[in-house]
Amino acid sequence: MKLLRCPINGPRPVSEFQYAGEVRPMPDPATCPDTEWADYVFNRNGAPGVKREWWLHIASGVWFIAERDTTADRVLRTYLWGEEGSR
Amino acid sequence: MSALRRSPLHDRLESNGARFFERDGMPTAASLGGHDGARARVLGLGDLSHLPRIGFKGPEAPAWVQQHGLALPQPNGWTPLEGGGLLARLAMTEFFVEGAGVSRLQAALRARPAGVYPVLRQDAGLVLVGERLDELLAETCNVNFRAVPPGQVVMTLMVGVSVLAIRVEREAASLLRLWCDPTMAPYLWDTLAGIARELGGGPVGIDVLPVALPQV
Amino acid sequence: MSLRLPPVDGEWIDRAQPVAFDFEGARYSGFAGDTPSSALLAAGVRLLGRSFKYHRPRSVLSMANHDVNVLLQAGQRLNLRGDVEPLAGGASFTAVNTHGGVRADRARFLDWLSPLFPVGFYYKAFHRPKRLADFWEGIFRRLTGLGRLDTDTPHLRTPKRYDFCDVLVIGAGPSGLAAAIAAGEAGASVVVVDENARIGGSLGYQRGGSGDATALLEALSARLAALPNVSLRPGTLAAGYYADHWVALVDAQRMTKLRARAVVVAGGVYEQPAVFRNNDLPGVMLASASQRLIYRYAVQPMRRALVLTANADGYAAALDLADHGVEIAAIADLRAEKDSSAAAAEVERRGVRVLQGCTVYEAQGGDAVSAATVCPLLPDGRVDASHPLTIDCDGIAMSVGYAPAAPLLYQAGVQMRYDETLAQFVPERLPDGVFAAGRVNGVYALEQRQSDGERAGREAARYLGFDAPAAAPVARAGAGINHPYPVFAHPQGKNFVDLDEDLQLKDFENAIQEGFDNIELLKRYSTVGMGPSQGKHSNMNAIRILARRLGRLPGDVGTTTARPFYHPVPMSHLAGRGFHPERVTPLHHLHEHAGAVFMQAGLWLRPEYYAVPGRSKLDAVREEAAAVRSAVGLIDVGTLGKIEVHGPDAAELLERVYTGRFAKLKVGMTRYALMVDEAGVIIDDGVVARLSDECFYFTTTTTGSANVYRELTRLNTMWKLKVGIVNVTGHYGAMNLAGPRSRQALAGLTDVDLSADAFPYLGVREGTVAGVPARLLRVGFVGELGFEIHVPADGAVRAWRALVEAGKSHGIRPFGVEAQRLLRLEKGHIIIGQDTDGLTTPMEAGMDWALKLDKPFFVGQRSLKIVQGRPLRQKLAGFVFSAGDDGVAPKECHLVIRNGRIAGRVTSVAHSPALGRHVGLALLAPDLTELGTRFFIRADGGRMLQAEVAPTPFYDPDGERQKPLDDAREGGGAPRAREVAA
Repeated sequence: MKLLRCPINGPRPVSEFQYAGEVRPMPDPATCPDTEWADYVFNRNGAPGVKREWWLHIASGVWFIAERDTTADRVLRTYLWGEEGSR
Repeated sequence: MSALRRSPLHDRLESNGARFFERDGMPTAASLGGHDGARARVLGLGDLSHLPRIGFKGPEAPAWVQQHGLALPQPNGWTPLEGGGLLARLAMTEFFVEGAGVSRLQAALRARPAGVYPVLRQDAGLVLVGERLDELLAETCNVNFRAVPPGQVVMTLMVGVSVLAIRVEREAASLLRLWCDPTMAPYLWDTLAGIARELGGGPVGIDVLPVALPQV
Repeated sequence: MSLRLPPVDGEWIDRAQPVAFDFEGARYSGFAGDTPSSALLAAGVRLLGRSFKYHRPRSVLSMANHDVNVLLQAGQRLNLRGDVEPLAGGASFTAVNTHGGVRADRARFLDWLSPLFPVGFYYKAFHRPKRLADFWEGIFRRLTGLGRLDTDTPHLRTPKRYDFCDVLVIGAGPSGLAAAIAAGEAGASVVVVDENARIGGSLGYQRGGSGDATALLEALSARLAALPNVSLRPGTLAAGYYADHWVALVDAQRMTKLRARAVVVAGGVYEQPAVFRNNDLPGVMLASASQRLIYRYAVQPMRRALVLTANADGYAAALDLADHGVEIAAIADLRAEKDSSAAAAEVERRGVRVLQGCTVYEAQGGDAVSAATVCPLLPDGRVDASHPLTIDCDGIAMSVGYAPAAPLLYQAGVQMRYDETLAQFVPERLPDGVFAAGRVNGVYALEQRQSDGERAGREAARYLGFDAPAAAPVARAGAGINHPYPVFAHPQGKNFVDLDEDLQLKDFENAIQEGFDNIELLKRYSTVGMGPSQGKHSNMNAIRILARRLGRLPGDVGTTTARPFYHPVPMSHLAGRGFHPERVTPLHHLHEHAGAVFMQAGLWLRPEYYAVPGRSKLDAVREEAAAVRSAVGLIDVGTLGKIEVHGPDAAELLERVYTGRFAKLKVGMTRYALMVDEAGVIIDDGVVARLSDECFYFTTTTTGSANVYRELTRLNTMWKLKVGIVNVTGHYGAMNLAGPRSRQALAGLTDVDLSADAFPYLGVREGTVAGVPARLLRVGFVGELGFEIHVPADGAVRAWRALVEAGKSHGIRPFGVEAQRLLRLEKGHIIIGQDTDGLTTPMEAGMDWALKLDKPFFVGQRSLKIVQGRPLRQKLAGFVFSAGDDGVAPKECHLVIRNGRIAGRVTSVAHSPALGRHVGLALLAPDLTELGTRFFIRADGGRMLQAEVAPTPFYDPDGERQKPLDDAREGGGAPRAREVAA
């Protein structure tokens, strides 16, 4: 079973986590055109590649970002939101 | 109907033949009968839900803890409290206190300090002791407790239940403190008790647990 | 006649412990440490099984669980591998897949009919005419299949374990043991597993008539004994490799899920059979099988042997045989040049006849081999059958080469390449933390296998940061070990490639000719490698055959995917314990004592209703509902999600996640809250209570609590509002006291002023109930005067008991989920997920009033603005049946049909005691929702029922019962159901 490294709790089996989708910037709902909004709401990026994903460590409630190469299913790094610059 | 508080495991303990005594306003299973001692040596499971506990969190919580003269634990660390009890730091800015320090901090929280928010903690508090503790952990928990440094808290899933776990190594035997959501406690208790019985132990009253126990 | 040898150095059997057992109805005796195959061979039994398709006579081939020639059943224990199963006293074995026993198997005539069964015949025959397909199926089910399942077999479960180590070494042969020593000496915690009962691997049995191997094993064992950080686990199989060095270890007791930080695969090789006519007869076996029989079980494998070889190991095996009383009739060496090893020299010195450049062309015999036909090979590798030589023998030992035991490496993601000189696939690129050593790595000389193991162990230790000296790579072996093509055609066939599946050489040629000329297609069409051995003795030859046919290299042909498990794993180990988490409220046992019948809501158990002796469920539910309407009822709503939000930005958070306004909600008041997702679809609802300027306490649906809390915390991770969000779902108990007498029942238990002025409808108050700190909310889900009481979980039992006690004189009755659903339906209140689906927007649910689209921002707002401008797809509406309806009602999800098309569906329906008729909610095409419109619902059996749109609430439409002016008015008067045109 895969290991995933929570930035706070350290490496744990992936069964301790919940995946919550790719990090997707929200267009400004007050100004963007309908088509852009609909694309944001309904479409997802299916292409393989390195994606930034939301992950939750269930037991502690820690949310973090994992950068995962979905072709190889390899997690490159994990960090708390806003801390991708560090290290 | 007397006691104000009641453990989520009260009925399990009652059906195990518990003799109850009130502690901290909660009927507590002091003893489950003559086999308590033998079971606790092999693998005993006890209910410490009676101990008072609170939680709090927020950006100012670490500073607030220090303002109250308490040593600040490392993130995901815990320290014992004078007079019995413990202070655990969960991740970065959340805290969990059990035992002696609770009433004092509870009073201080009512003043609603800025950036410190109360977290109601009604967890079931369990304890596991005995020679075969490692075997039970090997069957139920995918965390290598042997590799966890002392003074660390572990938040993980055990038989499908989110738990907060602290392992304490003692000369006599090591013990494991576990806390979980009270609505999951009967299931967790049943599962752990079943495994403990298979390994030659089982539920025990708390009188038989290691003397220094109420401190931790 | 006994073929048991006198004691052999290092034998595994314990002659002091005889073991009696039955085989095919006859009594035999073996020893502890024997397997059924070894004990039977020792007793002189030659026929141990029948093959899968043709029911040909079979006996030991590999003695290593690389074939299933000897597949046995003992009572309820199925498909035991006779070669490796520990012999248990009192067992009664039969060979599987026979009709009338292994000797008199009636199905053995199938062997003569085999020309009718070419490869893939079942794809082409027997399915037409269709009416006969069942007939043929019946025959095949009786003729094929391995083992007979006894459906009374007890369901066993064995608890699994987790375990951890630094370095896992798979295989305890010379390479594996050397690797373990190297990693252990560097300080790593090491676990060594080997599927065999004892460690040592080939050191135990490939002795070549010398004591060197034994001495080396002793030396390695002594060094290991000095390393307490190395744990040896024989009798343990590494069944599969999973992500991040997670390996399933299987032993007799259980499965252990081991997390290693590095893995060394030293699992060795599978010796491969040569393919010649009748190579499957009893007595034809791999050379290593004969050596295992001698050195592990002290069994003389044959009396007069023909050794077929293409490497030095064959000569070593000949010496092992000769040293234990076997006459070597001849050695046929496939190679043109003489072998230059010491073993070959010794063989020559002893005057054994060696036929260079020859092969066995055919094994002769009926139920067992009695002679070998040996022919020379032409330079191009074909057989020259012009002058065959017949050599009497009762055993043929084959030593023509090996294939790597690489499945775990493949599962780990290794890239192999075909080494032409060695004629073997070898690892070329290994993933991080995975190492290979020994023969699986293409290293064959004994000393070099040891060095290669040491190298791998050191590399694993260094990879983990331990201090170990650098290790030089060890050269792989070259030619003269694996024959590149030990396959010999014969006009009469019966030269088997896969003995599990009874596949002959011509089956491959036919398949390739039919176009299945790619290794994946060839595998699936011919079924090579799909039998119980999963290709251990057959995949390599299949690849060689395909490659030769296509004129390519085995490396180009490639291999198929190796999947777990390496050997079959008992279901009991896989079942494990089975954990089924369950959630209960603190009041659960009180409900049990009160006769509650429970239902599941997600992980929760909730009382569906409280059983009353002599009453049906329907009546019990109706009585509960009636008690709420006329007196007072009490329901446990502790499963509701409960969340607190504290801090200066608490109101702002709620403004952003709910559709309504909360910033100006007064302290001490509550408000209904609706939550939609980014698409504007309803996902949750609840009640928000403001306890102070900076403290809100709100509820969610039972099944939504975890998701709502998680999404709020995720959103705030981005928004960084100054709030603390606390999930107190399990930490608060909650109960709803509802009915015209609720105020009276509660008044004596609480310090909160319950009068209508002090505590208006939709208010929230904090105080105590029966001495327990409590939050009281005046909410109206069931449509009566009521108080929802939230208390810390440890005080819930006390509060409930006090309410029940105080309510006795007022006729209090606990009520369950069924009654609650009925009561709320009479009020037209929706249940999310039942009256809404995955696409329902607030407009469709008639909840426009809960939307404040002019707020600056809330989740889903933009989508709702877009959707608002569009015509509705569907709309939720209340409906009734005519007052004289005959009591037949539709069920939830029955469809509304108009002009033969679907125009909606029923979402909720029940018989309303208060109204005396059936009422319900339905999602309808918008043009059907005008009041009074009639429509048809298709119920069970296609029966069409007519319904009519009616306004909601059905009961107490003005809501007077929820907020009576004073509690002196009993029952609030008769409920005024809206008049509906009949």
